[in-house]
Amino acid sequence: MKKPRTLLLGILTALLVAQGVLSQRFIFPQWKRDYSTGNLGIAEGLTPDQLLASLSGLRTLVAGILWVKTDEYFHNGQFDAVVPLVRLVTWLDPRQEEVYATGAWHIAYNFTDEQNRSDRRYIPLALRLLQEGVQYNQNHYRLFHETGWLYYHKIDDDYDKAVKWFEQSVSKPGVLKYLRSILASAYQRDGRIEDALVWYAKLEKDAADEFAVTKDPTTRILKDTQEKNLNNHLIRMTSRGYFGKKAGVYDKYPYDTHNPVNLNFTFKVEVVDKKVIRVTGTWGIPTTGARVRCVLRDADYNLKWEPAPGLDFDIDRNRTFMLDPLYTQNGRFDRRIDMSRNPTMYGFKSDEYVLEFYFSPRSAPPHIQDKIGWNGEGMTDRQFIDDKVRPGQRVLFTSVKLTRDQILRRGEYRDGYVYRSPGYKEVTTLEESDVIFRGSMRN
Amino acid sequence: MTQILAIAGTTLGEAIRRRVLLIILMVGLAFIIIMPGISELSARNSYDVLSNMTLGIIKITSAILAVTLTVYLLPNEIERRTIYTILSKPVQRAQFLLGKYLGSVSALVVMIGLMTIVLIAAFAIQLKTTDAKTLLPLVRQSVMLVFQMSLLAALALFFSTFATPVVNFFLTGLFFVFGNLMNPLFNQLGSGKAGPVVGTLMKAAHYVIPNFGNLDVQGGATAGEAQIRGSELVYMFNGAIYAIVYIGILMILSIFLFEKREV
Repeated sequence: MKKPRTLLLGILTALLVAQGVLSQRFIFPQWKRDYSTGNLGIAEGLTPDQLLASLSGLRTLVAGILWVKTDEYFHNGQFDAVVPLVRLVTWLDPRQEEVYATGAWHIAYNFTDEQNRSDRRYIPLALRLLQEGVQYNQNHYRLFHETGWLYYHKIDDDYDKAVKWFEQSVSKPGVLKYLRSILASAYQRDGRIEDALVWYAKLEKDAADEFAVTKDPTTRILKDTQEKNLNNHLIRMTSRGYFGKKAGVYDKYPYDTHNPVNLNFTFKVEVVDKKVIRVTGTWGIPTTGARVRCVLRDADYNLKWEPAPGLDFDIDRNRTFMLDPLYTQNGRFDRRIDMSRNPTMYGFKSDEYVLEFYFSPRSAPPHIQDKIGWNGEGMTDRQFIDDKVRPGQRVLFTSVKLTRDQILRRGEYRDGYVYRSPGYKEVTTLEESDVIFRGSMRN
Repeated sequence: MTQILAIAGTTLGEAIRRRVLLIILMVGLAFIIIMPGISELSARNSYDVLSNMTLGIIKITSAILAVTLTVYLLPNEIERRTIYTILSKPVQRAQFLLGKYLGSVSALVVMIGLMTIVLIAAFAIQLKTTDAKTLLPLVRQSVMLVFQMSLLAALALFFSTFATPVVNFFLTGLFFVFGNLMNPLFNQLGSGKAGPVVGTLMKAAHYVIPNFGNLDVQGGATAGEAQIRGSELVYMFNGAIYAIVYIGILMILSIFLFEKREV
């Protein structure tokens, strides 16, 4: 027995060393990279049975149960309960892209006031959630795309960041074909017109190559769409004078962006009730589609969308930030902005505020860009054209200072407060039945 | 070898005949069949939720099976005195132990296999697909579950050589929970963030304690291979080798202890 015992001891020692090496050198590094949750997976908010289950290696099971619960809360309109649950699920199972995507969408879009304006203070949190998701799901396009989309659609500014995320999204294997065109739109909004052309051309070639092989109707539709996108872009580049400028003949030919449209922007801000303002105004864009961004914020609170390092999942409730994209029709806008019914969104704790009006040609729809160009070369304004707030573009930008007393109608402002920009002419109130007089700006 | 296989065959037959195991198996199967209803509750991400839940249920059922199968393996033989009949024949204690273990593992393979077949059938019906891309991740997880549960069974068998069934049950459960937490704990505390003593203890524990987390590919299995930067197959292969090596360690230790035990 002594000999086999010694042999077994030898094997035991060898196996002990082997398991250690295997675990430490080979398995753990890959686990850390591909399977780690980044934390213990133990989070406050789990009931004892859920905690026990998550400790027993059943994290994904608990995550699944919580996600079903989250869905239920969402459909019942219990939005406040959704965010903590989303955090729990992502802690437990960070490979669930859908949870990150839905959670970020919920955070960015669904916390709204009574007039359905979303609380923009949550946007950095939504971005933070997405960026965390991206860290755990590097190989897949989904969360890169979602992050790009948040910049492109919700923030509707900082288009360079949208481009950055979309570029990464389209470089991932398995990205859906129809999602790839968005990069070209983002390039345009970022002012990279030729990059958009190159991308459209690549998409068109890819689709044509695929159709040559498959010959199936779906690929045919995709090929036709990409061809149309490419042609549209070329036509726009031509008619807006892009090629003319490059060739140095812009002044020689009647491009659509010649004879800039005079925006002649004027506005009035009226505090009609405590925390209720009415903004009215006129401008030279007669068609629908373009919106003037109206922001009311603490004077010293310039909200940065990009999440700060170490940002936790809460917002500074003492800060006020309201953003309303004003609908314009027949060359005028009129909006009553009621902030009185949402004290948690609009606390008005600061003494001074800034009300801003902003319009960028980059976020305008194509039929308006056809006249004003990608960079605002086809628009002018006596008072408010600005080429500094967005370098490389001519945007409409102006701001007015307001005080807390004015907004809350206190002290000398008890009867209200009115500010009129120079040259403001009273406008008639917009009615729902208003006919849209002009659908095009070509004439 | 013949003796080992004979004992293994008997153990497998006995395990399948035990009604308690069939009840547990039925519970697992029933859960899997009921689970597709969850997709009605969770319109978003229903595949991930479903696969997480059903695989989780298979895991719970398999863990209970693995422990109940092995915890009573030796005590029952000793209590019923059947061990004397076996050991009086030309069968060594090591062969007896190995045979018992292989029999339990075979029973586990059969039961996990059955549950996986039902799971795949339920998914195929629920999702109306036979696409391998959709169904293969479930098989992968089940394969790793076999290794994980074999390791759990080896651990329970090891404890059964010196502990009573009740103590064994809790010891095995404790090691299973702790073994599942090994990687995240080591990741957070192994670098010495919580102090050098904790760091050293953590390193030692990570080296010695059976790491069940190494055999868990559920995150990757349910989320799709596209999200895994390395090769999942390599990870699974390493995990399987790790399980076999660790089972070897536990079996040798069990043999040493069982040789010395008076029966």
